[in-house]
Amino acid sequence: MRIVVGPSGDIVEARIFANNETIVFFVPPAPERNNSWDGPVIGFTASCDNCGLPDLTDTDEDGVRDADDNCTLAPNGPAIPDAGGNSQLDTDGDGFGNLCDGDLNNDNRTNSLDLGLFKAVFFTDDADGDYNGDGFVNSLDLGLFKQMFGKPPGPAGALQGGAP
Amino acid sequence: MKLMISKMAWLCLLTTFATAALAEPTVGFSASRIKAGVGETITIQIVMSDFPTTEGGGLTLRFNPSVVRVVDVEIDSATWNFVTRDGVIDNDKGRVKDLLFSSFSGVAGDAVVATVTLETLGRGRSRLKLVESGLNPFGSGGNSLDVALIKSVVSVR
Repeated sequence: MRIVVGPSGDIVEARIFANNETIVFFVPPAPERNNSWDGPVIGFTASCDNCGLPDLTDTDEDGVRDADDNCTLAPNGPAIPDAGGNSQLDTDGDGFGNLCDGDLNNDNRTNSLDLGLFKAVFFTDDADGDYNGDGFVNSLDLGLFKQMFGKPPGPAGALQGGAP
Repeated sequence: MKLMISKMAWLCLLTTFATAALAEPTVGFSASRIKAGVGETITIQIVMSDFPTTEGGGLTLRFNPSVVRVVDVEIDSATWNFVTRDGVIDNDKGRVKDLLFSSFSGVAGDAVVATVTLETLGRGRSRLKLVESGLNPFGSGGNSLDVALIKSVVSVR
């Protein structure tokens, strides 16, 4: 930490260094202080991007930050649960939520092999083929499967980019 | 005069487009009313109209079992070529439960869902009523579709 004192003897700035980032606290000139001011820090600005704080971005706004979200682009968190009311449903435990995981054979691609597997469990209560989590594999899941077809599963926060 | 005709033409055009845009998807029958004698065989189609691209749906058919019985139900496999179920015929309860149909490529506009063969048993009227099956809601791109279901009536003399 470094304290900067101005020409009048007042503290005008305090700098804290941590993790190669710098946080700058500044003290406005005396006329801007009010009567209740009893310390040097009454305002601050940060000169770092994230200041070492965790990234709170939640792209799909489902209530789970991207870093922890098993589907970062498909809402499946507590704020926007899936059709079955589930949050972060991941029945095959591969780190990708069901809502973005058409890759039933876990070869990191949703393709005709997965279509065959999906077709085999169609109109059943198979958990992995139930993408929307409503308890049954049906045409709503087929609609979701088509959107995932030809793509890797995810993206998921912990497995960003697809391949585990 | 010329301006008036032009305005009317635009109005007609807009009305046509607006009607088309607002058309609600419906599922009904190829005939709204059928008259037949006792002991006759009737064939009727379940048809859908004005659908956006749908991956499928499911229906239960209800009828009066003292007036008609269902002999056969066949889903149009040329249209619904992914996975289908012809439903469970129960002529005691008067229903065909869970006709389920799906298409990977999707079906849009108007299409035949299934062909139903009925046999008339006795004099009277039987509504042919469709109820959406909870097992396979009509869907488009993973979202449920609101669909209007239209009845038909079989009158047996």
